[in-house]
Amino acid sequence: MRIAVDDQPIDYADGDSVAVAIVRAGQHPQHGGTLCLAGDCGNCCAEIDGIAFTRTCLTPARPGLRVVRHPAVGGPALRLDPPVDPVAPPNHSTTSLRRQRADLVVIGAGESGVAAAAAARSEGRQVTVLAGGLGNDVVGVYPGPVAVVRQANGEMLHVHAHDVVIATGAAELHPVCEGNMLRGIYTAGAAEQLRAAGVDLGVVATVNLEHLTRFEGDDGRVHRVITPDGTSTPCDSAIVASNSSAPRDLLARMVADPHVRTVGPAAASFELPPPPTAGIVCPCSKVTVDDLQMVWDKGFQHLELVKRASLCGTGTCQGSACMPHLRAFVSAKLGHPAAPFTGRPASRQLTISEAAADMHLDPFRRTALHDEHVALGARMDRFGGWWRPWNYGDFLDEYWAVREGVSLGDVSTLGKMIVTGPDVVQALERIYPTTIHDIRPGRSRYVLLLNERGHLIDDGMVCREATDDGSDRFVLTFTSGGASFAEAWIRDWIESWRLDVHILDRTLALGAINVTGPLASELLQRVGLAEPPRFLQHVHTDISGIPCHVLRLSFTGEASFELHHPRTHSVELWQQLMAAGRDLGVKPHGLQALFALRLEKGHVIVGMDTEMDSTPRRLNMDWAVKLDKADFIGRTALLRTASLEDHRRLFGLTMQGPAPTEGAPIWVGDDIVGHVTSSFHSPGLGHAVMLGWQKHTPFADTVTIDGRQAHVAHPPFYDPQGARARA
Amino acid sequence: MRAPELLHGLRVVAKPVALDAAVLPDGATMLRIAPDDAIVAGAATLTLDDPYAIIEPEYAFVHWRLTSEEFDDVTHHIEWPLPEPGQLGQGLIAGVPAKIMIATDHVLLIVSAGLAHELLERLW
Repeated sequence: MRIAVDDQPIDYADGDSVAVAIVRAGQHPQHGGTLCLAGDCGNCCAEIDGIAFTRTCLTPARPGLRVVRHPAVGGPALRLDPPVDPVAPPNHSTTSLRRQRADLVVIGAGESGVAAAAAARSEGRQVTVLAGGLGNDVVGVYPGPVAVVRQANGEMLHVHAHDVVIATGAAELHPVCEGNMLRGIYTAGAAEQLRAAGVDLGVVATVNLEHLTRFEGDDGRVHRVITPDGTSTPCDSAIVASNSSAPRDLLARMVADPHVRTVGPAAASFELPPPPTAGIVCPCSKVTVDDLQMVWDKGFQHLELVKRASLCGTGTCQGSACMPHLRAFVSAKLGHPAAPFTGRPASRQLTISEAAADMHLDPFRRTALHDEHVALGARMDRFGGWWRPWNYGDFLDEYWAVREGVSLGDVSTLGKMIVTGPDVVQALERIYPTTIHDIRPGRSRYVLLLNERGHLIDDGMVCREATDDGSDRFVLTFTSGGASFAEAWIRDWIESWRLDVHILDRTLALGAINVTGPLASELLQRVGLAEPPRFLQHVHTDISGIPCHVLRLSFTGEASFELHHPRTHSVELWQQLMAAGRDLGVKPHGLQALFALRLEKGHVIVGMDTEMDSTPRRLNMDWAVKLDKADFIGRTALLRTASLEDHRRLFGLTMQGPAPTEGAPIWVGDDIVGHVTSSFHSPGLGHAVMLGWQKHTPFADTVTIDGRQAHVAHPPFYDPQGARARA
Repeated sequence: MRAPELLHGLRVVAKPVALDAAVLPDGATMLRIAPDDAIVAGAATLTLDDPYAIIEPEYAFVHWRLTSEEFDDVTHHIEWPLPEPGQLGQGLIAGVPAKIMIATDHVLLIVSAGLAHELLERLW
């Protein structure tokens, strides 16, 4: 029976671990270092069947298993297989995870673990024993407590327990001295395993760790053991015994939870080894005693600081091999015992798939029209928490369809909220910086949503409904990405003010299709909307038998009608509009065209053109704020800052030639004064149009972008009188 | 896994006392999302003692009616305590906001229609 090590076959015996097989073949699983063969250190880690940092001492050999040793210097290469595609839907972890509840979990099946389990059972408790030897490798313990387990069957397991007992025993100490990274050095326990497996260790020198000066050898292999009296003992293998052993308390050090306790040798105090004077202290990170001294001399004079500055204890074994020596080093410097450092999950190397088991990226919603977009050849992308069509092949086709004909856009993603109640007008007056009470039923108004500092956090429309009983009822809209936050924000304020208002978020229940372009009215008349509402009006009516709330507004700069409708009818409505407008050249448009169209109108997109501290003044949107009305969120801040000089302003910009990249720096002379937030080469206008920030005063009329001159111009760049939107 | 079905009913926002006192039509079930917010599954009309109550047809959610065995697989993706039978439980299931209601012979697994694809992909 053979395994392949660095693509060379080697024999193994029945019952061999991979590490034992490799030693049997006269090799070392890495390139040197003491072997404990107990899973405590990282000196036997190698890539096994494509998975790096696998402990070969804990991996049974089996026919055909492929071992690749890690490089002597540096780490194994990170594999990205398959290559990452940032646009594709994210891959989910292929490792499954189960959750289990337990009364008492005992970690460890050694003497102390068996005793703890027996004692608990005698008290009538239900006990779950987890141990690597039983196929349940506990890699972390979290408050709760929760034990995170890597199972031999490839699954991850989370055990939510009432109590956890850690009974993981103690580990043999590794020697730290000159030559301790040679091959052929074993702990006593490892040597016992190797002998039991029939491995010939050759001439053996046994030495006590506390009476060891150095190892000597050539060709990377130990040949002599030197003790403090100067004795040189020739050998093929060196066995290091110790009077002491270190508690395996890494899991215990991960968690502070009154329901987690440690028992047996894992909880025992122990005598630190002599402070190291030479050699590699941390074999995983190759940290030497000289490295520790260097960071100490630089002022990192605390165990946690020495760890962070030197990386001692941060490697594969998480300090299991080096911690006693690191503590001895620091304790000797301090003159008193240094406590061990905090343990960090995971105690064992996990694959990314194992670590990500049952962890998911934020889900992205699909509108009811998702399949329609895909069928029309849309390139879908994630935007504002939704999958949305970016374009349908040629965004300029879509642009011209809007400008000269009629086009459909899926705006189901917009936030849509119904608010009513006896205090609703008062609430909205306090929330929005414009007046609400004077919006007549059937009319709507564009509104900003500000925070207490007067910074823009969202925008949308307020539509006042015409009700049979004359009660106050409004439909509010929000941006796609800001809707969830806006809802929580408004609820929070209304509850704080103790106002009597009912709120219903309809975003997920309603689809919305924007019919836009100079032929939009004609198309809507064809599908049954005899009298399309006028600009900023809205009506409830059936279109092709589908109940719709029709909002007349404009983000594209052309006449636009948003048809809000039950999402269950989105496909039907979309298809009827497409069919009815076929001879009008109706086309769908995606976000790419929409962004270009609105940029020509100078409409900002919150979060794209705005920053965290963008006030209406900085955005040239003072017209949307009525400082003379009663208090509203942000009013105090706006009043206070109104008289202060401001140094930031979002400007419209134009330039000849191609549009610069969004994010491009804006220069005045040799200084960067801001950046471009949106840019587009307008085929209709024949030049590039942009929005961009200037953050230095005096604001310049002419700036440089991409090495070319650009001029400040006040939007809208297109149809400045708004005649087309109102047509 | 089979495709989910639309959860037919009403979405109701009203004063909590009005929801508490609501008399449901035969066959309807109230899923109380919040003290002032409920889905009334299986109802086409509802009268409440609240003149400002918002009562709208609900289109936002779809559901699966799972057998106990099917639900066992789902529970491995739920970190929060399961609700008592007849009560509504809400939280992330495999990272997706969802709701469950455990009945005697089945479990309703409810998710917004826009996220059904995510739950399908992650659970089955």
